[in-house]
Amino acid sequence: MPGREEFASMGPALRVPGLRLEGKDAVGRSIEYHRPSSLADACELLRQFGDTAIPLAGGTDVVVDLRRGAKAPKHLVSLAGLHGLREISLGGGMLRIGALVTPAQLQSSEEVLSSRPELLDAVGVFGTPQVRNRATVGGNLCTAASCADLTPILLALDARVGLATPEGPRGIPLVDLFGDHRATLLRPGHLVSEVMIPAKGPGEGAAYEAFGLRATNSITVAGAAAYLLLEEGQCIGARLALGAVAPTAFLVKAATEVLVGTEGGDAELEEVGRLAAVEAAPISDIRGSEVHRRELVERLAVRAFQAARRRAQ
Amino acid sequence: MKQLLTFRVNGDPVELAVKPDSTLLTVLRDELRLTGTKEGCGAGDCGTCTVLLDGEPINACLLLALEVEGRKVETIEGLVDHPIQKAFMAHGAIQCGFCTPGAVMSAKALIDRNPNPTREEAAEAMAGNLCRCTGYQKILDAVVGWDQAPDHPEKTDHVVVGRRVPRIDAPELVSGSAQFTDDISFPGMLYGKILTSPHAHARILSVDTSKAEALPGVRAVLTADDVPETFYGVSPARYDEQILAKDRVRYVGDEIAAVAAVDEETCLRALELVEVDYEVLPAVFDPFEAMKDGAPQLHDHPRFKNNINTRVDWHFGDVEEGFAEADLVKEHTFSGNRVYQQPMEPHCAIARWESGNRLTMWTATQVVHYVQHQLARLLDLPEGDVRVVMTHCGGGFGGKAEVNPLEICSALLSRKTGRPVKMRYTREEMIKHGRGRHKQFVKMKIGVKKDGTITAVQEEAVLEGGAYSSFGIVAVYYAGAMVPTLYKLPHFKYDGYRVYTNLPACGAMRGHGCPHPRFAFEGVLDMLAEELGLDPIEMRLKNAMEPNSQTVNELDVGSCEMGACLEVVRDRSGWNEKKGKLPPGKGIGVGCGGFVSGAGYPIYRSKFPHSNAIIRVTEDGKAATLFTGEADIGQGSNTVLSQVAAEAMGVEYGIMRVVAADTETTPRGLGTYSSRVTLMGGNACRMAGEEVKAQVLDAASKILEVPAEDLEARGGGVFVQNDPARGVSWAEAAAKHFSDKGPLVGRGWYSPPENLGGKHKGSTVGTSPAYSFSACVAEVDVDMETGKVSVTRLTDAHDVGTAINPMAVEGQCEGAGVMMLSEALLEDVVFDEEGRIKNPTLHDYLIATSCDAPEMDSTVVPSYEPRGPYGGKECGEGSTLPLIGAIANAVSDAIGVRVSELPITPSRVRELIRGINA
Repeated sequence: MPGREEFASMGPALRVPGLRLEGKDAVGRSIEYHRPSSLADACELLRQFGDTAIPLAGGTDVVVDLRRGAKAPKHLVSLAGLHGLREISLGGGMLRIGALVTPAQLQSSEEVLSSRPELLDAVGVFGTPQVRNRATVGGNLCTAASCADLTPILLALDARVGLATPEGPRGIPLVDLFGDHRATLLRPGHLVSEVMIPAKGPGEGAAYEAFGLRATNSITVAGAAAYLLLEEGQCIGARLALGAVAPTAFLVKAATEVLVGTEGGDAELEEVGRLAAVEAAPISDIRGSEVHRRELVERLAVRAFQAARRRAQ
Repeated sequence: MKQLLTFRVNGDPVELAVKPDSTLLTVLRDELRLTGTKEGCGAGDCGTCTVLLDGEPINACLLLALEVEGRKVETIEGLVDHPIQKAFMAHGAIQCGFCTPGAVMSAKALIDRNPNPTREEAAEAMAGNLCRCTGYQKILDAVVGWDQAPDHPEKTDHVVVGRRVPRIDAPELVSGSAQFTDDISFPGMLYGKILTSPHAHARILSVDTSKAEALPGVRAVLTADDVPETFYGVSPARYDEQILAKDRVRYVGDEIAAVAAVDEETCLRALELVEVDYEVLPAVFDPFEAMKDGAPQLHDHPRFKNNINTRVDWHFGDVEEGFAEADLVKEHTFSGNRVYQQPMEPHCAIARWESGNRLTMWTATQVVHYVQHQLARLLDLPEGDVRVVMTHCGGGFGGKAEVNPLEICSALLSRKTGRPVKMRYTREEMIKHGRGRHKQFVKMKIGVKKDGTITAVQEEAVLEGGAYSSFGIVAVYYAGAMVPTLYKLPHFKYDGYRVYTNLPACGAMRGHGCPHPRFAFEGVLDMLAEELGLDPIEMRLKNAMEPNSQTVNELDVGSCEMGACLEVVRDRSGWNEKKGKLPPGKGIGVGCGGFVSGAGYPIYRSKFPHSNAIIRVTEDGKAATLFTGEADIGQGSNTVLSQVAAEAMGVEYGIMRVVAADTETTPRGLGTYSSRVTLMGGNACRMAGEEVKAQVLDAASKILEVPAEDLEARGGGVFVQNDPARGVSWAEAAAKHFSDKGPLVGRGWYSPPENLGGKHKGSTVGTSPAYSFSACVAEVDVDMETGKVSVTRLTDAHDVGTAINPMAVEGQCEGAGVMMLSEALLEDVVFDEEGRIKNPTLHDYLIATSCDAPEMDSTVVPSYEPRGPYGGKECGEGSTLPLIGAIANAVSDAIGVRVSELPITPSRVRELIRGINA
């Protein structure tokens, strides 16, 4: 009978420890549903219930977790009554996106199109049309999945998030929101209420390049968002954020160091790509090997910067 | 605690109390009984639950019902004769219909905001509605052309056969009123769930169900001690499954206990209370490891030594002699992927005992008779006391072609509780149960002359089988038997091993056993062509099978237009202008395929006809009901069989009704597998129709006072052959028959020709009354930097004999194209080191979406199969088989290195490209 050696070129399937073990199909048990009508009430409920509660925005992740038994809260605090968080506004050079704004809303927003059209790169690869009608910007950030598509482009655009807390509102840089994969640093009673992004100025360009396994609606295997600020052909600002290649999306410091002060030519971009691939800390899983993800990071970073450069000029 | 919810559904105010964790989908289906909205995955991946919330499509499974307070929900039941529904019917956008309600809602939302969508916009809008049947082509046709009637010329010598009529059940499917099994409920119905093994291999030391039985709401708990010990399976030669594990579990998911309770939540809680003590045993997952001496043995019977479930050892002619004659011999190894069918509808079964000791089973199955046969065996009942009714079935592709644990356990739980019991799989459970495509490791060696003439072929295949036989014995024979059917092979040797492993059992899947050997064969052919400097299509033409030949393994090929298929795809794809002239990163490749039109022999030995039909004409002669045991799982057999029956009777198609796949009311049919229904069911229906016609002509002859042999019936009229102006309506003649002689009934049956195949062991597999042939040219773009492959265009051609319904044939071919593209590029069931599936959801196991579907150009070549009804033969499986070879050859062409492993993922493509550059 034949032996495995004869098929040695195939190698065993990629082995990755515990991606997700079989989930329970059990639905959540004896949950209480709350629907506060003000942000203050929502924060107060979340503070009061602590880690027995989870806030419910679009529910596109939370409901799946509830059904699989991956989350078993005692209280659901629905944000459906917080209508003020559904607005997009532009003023004072700042684009403000309410935490409950959906990707579909971003897609059809005049304000987004005029002030930060680059966001649409990320919206375009975001889930299905159905999910884009329900998911929320705040939910996408607070789920804190490393593959979330809005995070890299928002990091590259130096976004800040507005927090509602029992002690009153405050703002923090987006980069400070994340602790680990699927973990924010928010404390009980804290809610993301909005995202603030500086509106596009002269000489600026940004772009997001995501790599998924099928043409649409697939988890991002690696993503790169680039931002460039050019003045008289010189790069005076640059940022690169990567998604899905580390426990959280993160900014690649080397990108800024390499590019600022140069003309942002292809040679520099290639150098940034190489450094980004080194700085990434990807895993191997069913969607791609670690090696492949590093390759992707390198290419996606270059492509994102090239697109950003075109948009900046 | 329940909370009050007020909202509007399809304009009507609704007020009801719901549990906080109930989804909108649950409320719509279970509370409001709006069952048109389907549950395909429960996780927002498939889109079958799409409804409109304030006009925008959303997944009802991802939305807690309480969140819709004060809002407006529109479901499929709210649309009546909407133009998009009519377009779905007219364009043939519906096959099994399970995804249809959700797809219609997405399409409606699109055209409401954009009445003139481009095809690209339509594809994007439909990207969240997965469809496994249609390949999306006709769905996009319907969405883009929603306000126009399709414009396809019909060329046919017949009245009904050859016409592009919509599915006979399209109105029910497009309105959401068609009942799939899970849409049915009975008063007092209980639910059931199965406890499965968390270990890949373990001895069961004890099972304690006392705590589970004590849980309020639990009505019955079954373990191995409570159920018959009878072994079952697919082939009597390999019955190796037990209803519930007696002493050993052999894969993660093996069934241990079953519970019935008032609802599924209670069932799940009860399962958690069942205490099982295991002694974990060493497990083996790799078929090569499993064949080694000393490997853990899955089954103790000595015939399964070294875990070899089935060994095939065939040698036709003399390959050594053939290779000696060759100018060039190439051998290469290929590995396939473990693919799951992923029909949009998860399995579901409802059991109810009636009139004392008679069971009725409603189930989503492809094979009512085999389910009846197995249930009768296991329950020790006469077959007549087991009624199996196929409801509408949301796709099968082979995954519903054998009796399943839901059917068996629901019957036993229902008997024990005296109540109807419904059992259904979640998407995860169905993937875990398995029965998908075997992963094959194939070594293919081909010898050719300088001019490309094949002199000999030697094949070795190892099939990773999983823990039980299922259809594996057939799969391993098919993996060899079909190889000599496409090209003339003078010598052929095949060694096949179907191996037990501690993984879910593999079964039958569309193209059964053949895709991976075809992938290997078409690959080696291209390697040979390249080295000899021959054009791959010319080389295939040189070897193409010819009509009325016998293959080296003694299969009789009748009609065969393999050569015509190759010429069509060459010409329509612009092959000669492209092959060898494309820049790096772009590739073109060809592949061929073909399949049986029904297996020549049944699964268990019997002499009865494989297909049977009864037609009953209503008393006024204005309607006729076709009773057929065959199963329409989406491929459109009810429509095609009705067309054949109508043609044979001489009536208009519009008078036809169908009752199908109900073992009590329909005569036996072996069901939908091995692409048997068009030919076998069609012949039975034609015969029944002709019997009806003869009686109608008799009645008409009395009215017209003309001898019956001088009359002809056609298209609803009976007329005198040499004086067509003289006649009587068919209905009037039929009514006269009833007045004179009582019920007007016709009967028909079909048995394959006797003594098909040779005398060698396993010679029954691969036999068939007729064979289909197909060729495909695939064009791909490969992003050389990321490794991503996009199939940009598929040009395919098919010899399916007469296309009884060209729209349905196109639907099969387009669906086959996209399904196999998906298999080639995306699909693989992946396990961790403990034998647990890493991607048991449609979130992680990706299948092609509307945006992945390429441009397709499908041609049906002229052909006529004398053994088929009006010349027809199969098209559903043969059409899948050229694809993997064509795509793999195109990718190899694009990147300059041979692809030999599936699926062709970006990671693998990059490994190959890196390999060249290293």
